[in-house]
Amino acid sequence: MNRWFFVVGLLTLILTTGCDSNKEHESGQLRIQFDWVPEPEFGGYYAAELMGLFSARNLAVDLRPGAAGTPVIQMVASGQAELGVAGADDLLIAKSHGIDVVPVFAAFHDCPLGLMIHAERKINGVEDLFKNGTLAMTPGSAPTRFLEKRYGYHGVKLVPYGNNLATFMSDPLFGQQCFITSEPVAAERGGVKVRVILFKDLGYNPYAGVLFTRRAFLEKHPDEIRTLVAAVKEGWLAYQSDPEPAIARMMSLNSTMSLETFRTATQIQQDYLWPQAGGHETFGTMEASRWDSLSKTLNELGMTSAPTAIGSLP
Amino acid sequence: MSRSLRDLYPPLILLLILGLSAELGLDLAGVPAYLCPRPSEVIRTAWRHQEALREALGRTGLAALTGLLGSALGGGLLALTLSLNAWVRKAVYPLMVFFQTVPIVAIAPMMVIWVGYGRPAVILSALIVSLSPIVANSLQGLLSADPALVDLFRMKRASSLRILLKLRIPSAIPQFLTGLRIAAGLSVIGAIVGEFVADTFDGGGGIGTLIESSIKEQETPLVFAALMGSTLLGLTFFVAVGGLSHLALRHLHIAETRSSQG
Repeated sequence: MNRWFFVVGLLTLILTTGCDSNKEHESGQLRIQFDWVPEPEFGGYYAAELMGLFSARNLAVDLRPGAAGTPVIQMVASGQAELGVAGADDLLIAKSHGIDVVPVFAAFHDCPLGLMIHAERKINGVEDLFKNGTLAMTPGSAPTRFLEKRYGYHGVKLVPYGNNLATFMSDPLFGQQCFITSEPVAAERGGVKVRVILFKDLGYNPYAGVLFTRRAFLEKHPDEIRTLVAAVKEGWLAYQSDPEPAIARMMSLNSTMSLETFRTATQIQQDYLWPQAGGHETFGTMEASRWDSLSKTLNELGMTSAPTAIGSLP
Repeated sequence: MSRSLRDLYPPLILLLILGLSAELGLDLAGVPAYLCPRPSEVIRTAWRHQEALREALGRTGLAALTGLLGSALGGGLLALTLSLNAWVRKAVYPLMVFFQTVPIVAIAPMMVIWVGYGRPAVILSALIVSLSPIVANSLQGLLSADPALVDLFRMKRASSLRILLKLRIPSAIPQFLTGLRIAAGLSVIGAIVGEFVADTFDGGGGIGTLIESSIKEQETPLVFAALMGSTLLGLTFFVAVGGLSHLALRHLHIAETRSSQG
């Protein structure tokens, strides 16, 4: 129950936080809070840790796995962690609520989220998906609002997105949002051929897996953050060339995912990590124009009260 | 001033003190609004979104009420059945206890498979959560009729059915209503959990959907306003059943008569 976890997480945060978002990280440790359990989407971080890329740069980094509903942005903002990983859209929405976060590195240049449908489903165009059948989406999320504005939900039954694939597997007219390396892999493994329509191909393409910190922390520790980003980037490059050690490490922390699934997901996500132009040199960097465009989109969707600038990127 | 109005003062005064303390405490501690909104901000947000809250609470309330009525009827009948035969009681009651310990969040996704998405699944969730206290309390009431009165009925050669109708059921009503009072709040929780998993939201959803969308939109004050609304809904159910209990028993049972005399 993501929502209970979020509310409980938030209340715990309120009770445990020192309430000073600008407070110094006491032990000199850089705590990086993930929004999910160890999976290939965080592979570069675990590779960097295993290869000693952090310690070689005199950085004490603590990688903290998340769970369903972990309030990552609030944790970073309140000083429970120095850095976190979240989606670009969530960061802009947070900015519009007065949380001064700043992105420092984007692992996924292209958004790996999309809609998953049965491969045999006959549709003449994407708009057909919104005219009949059932679609599982997260209520209130930016992609849900985006699809509503672009296509309208006329005739489709909208239901909450969950982690259970049972309904999808049994209903050929059931579609759902998905993370390209997760649900489609699991569904295919369960014997159902799927087709994925990526949000980026529909016009919604925020950066994903964005490493961020609070601006006050960045201003106090610019060199530390710059060094960390270099280590993370090197870790990702190492993960892509030889993912096996990091996969073994992640499997020891997340035993629910099989080795084969780890390998398949690692293979699939490659297409979303690298910018189409610029190659590996520009890996992790972000363009201000894309943030501006996303900000405009979110404002048009009513997710922010005004277009929100992410601020100068480091 | 009536007694029921006088009874409202202590909790309202305590609530006011807690609210003011939270307002001041959060300000003094410097807790940012995105972590924990001030009570005043929550109330302003609730006022601003009153229509959405009202509609969502209406949907959730209706589902919870339907589930509660279903569990009152089903639970009452089940307790009656269990009271009639010791063997059946010994066989079924442990399963009832087992059923009660299964977390609803774990079986909620299965309800989607059983009855599909939509209000039936939400109602079923409310029913499942609120069933056990009604069965347990009603059964207790049915089995604990005064033995002296049972003997008296038997001396008068009353049939088992007559003993059930004239003695056991009337004497079980207070326990049944106690179970119903516990189940009232649980039915709201059950409905909200059902909405998290199984509701449809293309035409607007219940309070569970509102909580979820507010979390996604990072509208923390609205999350708290929705939580406040769901709490009020549960409280309304509890008070309504309490009122029903008082009306039903005031002339029959000494406990209710005494409580009404304050």
